[in-house]
Amino acid sequence: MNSSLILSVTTFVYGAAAFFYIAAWIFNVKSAEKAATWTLILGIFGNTIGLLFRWKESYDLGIGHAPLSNLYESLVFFALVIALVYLVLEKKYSIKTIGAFATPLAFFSMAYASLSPKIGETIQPLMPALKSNWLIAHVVTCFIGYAAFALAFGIGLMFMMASWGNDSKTGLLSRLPEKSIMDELMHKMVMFGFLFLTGGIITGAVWANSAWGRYWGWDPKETWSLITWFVYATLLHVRFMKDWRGKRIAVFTVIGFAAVLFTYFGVNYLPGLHSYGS
Amino acid sequence: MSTSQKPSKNLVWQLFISVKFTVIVLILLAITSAAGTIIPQNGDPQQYIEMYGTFGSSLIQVFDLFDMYHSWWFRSLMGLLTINIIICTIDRWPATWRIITSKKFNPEQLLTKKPYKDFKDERTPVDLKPLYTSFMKKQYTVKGVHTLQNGFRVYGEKGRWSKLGVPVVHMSIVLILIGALVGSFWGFDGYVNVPEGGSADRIRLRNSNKIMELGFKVACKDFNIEYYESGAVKEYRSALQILKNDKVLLEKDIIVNDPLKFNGIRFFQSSYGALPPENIEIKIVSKDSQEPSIYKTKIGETIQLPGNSGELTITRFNKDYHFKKVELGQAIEGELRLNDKDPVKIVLPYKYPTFDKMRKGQWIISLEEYDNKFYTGLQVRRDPGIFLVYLGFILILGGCWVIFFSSHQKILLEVTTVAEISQTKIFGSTTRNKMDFKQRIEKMANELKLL
Ligand code: HEM
Repeated sequence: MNSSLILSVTTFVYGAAAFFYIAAWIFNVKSAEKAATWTLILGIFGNTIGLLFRWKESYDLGIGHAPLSNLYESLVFFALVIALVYLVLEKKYSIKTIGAFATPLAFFSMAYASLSPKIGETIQPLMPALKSNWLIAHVVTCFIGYAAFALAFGIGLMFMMASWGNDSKTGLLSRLPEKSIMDELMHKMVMFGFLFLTGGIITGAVWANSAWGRYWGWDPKETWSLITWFVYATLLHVRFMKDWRGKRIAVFTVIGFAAVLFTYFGVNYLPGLHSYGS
Repeated sequence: MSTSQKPSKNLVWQLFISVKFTVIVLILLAITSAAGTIIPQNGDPQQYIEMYGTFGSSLIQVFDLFDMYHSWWFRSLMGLLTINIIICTIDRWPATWRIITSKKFNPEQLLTKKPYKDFKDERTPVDLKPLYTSFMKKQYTVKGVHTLQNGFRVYGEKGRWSKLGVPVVHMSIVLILIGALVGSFWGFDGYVNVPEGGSADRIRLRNSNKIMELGFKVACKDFNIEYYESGAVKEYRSALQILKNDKVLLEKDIIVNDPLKFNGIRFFQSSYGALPPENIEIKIVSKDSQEPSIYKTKIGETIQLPGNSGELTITRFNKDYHFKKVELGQAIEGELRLNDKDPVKIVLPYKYPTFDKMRKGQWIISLEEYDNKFYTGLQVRRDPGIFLVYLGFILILGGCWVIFFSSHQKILLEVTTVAEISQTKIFGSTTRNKMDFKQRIEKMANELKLL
């Protein structure tokens, strides 16, 4: 058994979990909800084991390092954190409709990692600048933040459906949580993400300072993480202006998540130096 | 904002305490920062003219768009945000401080709202009072226990200090920016190339291009590159020494993530390069006789060919020789002058010592020996602001942590008897995390029933 195989299988397990969550929501079947949760737990298990295997395999190759060093590994880790943060949310608040919007994101992340021909799966040795414990702290904090923003985005989509959608017949929207609950969860996820994005930017700065003696250099990846930070800081503050709750916050979670995705993927298409992620 | 009504605060103050203004500045910062990632920064002026035309590039010049993160207007935006944060914090501080330090607790206020939870209990208020009071004491700071005609009230709170989270976050941003300012005024950023076996006592500054004396010497005893099996670089390592009056004060091997620190100055491994060889051994073979002759020479020297048929001058060392667009790396170049012919350029790449065979000349020249030495490229930096920046980092994380995980909660338990049955009501309020608070009260109700 190797990590690639485990992780490919995990992709399908996440797909199945997403399917069950969506089915449970659309057809209002309680039994599918149970299956969804257990499938998700199985996926998290496979995802974790896959990453651990990959970690071990890198040591077998004599280039041992934590499995957080390239785009493939970061996508796999991203999927894991999305699934985990969602599971915590589900355990805490028992709102399973969120799963229909959250688990597909974990599935997409894994599927993109496994299926895109552009993403190399082979375990590569670390270049000298990446050899730092700050790298691990940096990647872990960033992706916890990104996962929280992904969930906020999912809940934001639900909120927009509930606000602008119109279905008196199927009752799909009536099975979404109350707006006040979604509003609070969105804010909670954004604040949690903001805490970890702040941590991610800081660990990145400390790492840059230990490698190059400067904590900030305005390279495109750094700059885009700061832009993302500005967007979410804006979101946190518009809540204190009159009427800026609910819908407008939901729109902001989409803009914010677009900034996250650009920081993650888009930056590679800009002129710049940040080698990691490309 | 609570103070916006006061006539003593003028318009400028009003502007700077407004969150609307914050939102506008944050959005402007986000948009302009994004623009700076699209327009290449610190490029060559010629390149801008090619990309944006004469007019476009002169516009870019006027607004410093080629170095916009250091431009007057970008710095002004940051300055506005900073003033905004400072004024806003000052404005709100008295109210925040009053809440944090206030001993007052108004139970009536909690009683005006609906209770979160109510349930019945068989026991009498007299039995329940000590149980409830000690229960509250475990989780909250109890602020009062009142006896009522047919029951009692106990109330308490926790997390007053959580109000500090927001001002701490805001002030740490200011702290980080002050740290950055201190660094840019009193720090420096330079570089120096030190040859293996050599030393340097001055560096070149990056911003001004000026030379700066270090006041001591930094020597490189050895430079090494380690490779993975795949050929990718695994590690760059320089063995450095700090010397003053020929006394070694400090010695350390540096690698990319592990600099040397001395007197607040840090030396980072940042680049390397090959040095021209000092001693070269060259083999010259005549195509006819196949007889080899070996010469020891140096760059700049001239060798007489066997039989006085001409001479070869070693002209220079090329770090990066390209042959028909193929990169051949380091090479030694020379000029061959045969008696009756035009001079010919000779190239002797390190990787292909017999490259000259391809020229198909009368004499085949090849590289036998050379000393392959490197210089190590050091980034030399001093940043006296780093302490403030890191302090700001810690505080902003702590502040965000507090904002996310804690809140100011008040709880009031009221027990009254109605027809011999005790009725418990749980009142409460929280500054944030309402859903968690509700769950907490559900749990509390269950625990109270089991006391
Ligand atoms: C980059 C700059 C800033 C950052 C990162 C920042 C961060 C934060 C955070 C994390 C919160 C807590 C949000 C929440 O509870 O959901 C907050 C609240 C707040 N901020 Fe800022 N802030 C910034 C600038 C400013 C400025 C310039 C002002 C000045 C008007 C301001 C005014 C406020 C106010 C009034 C609150 C609400 C405080 C409360 O809940 O009592 N912020 N800020």
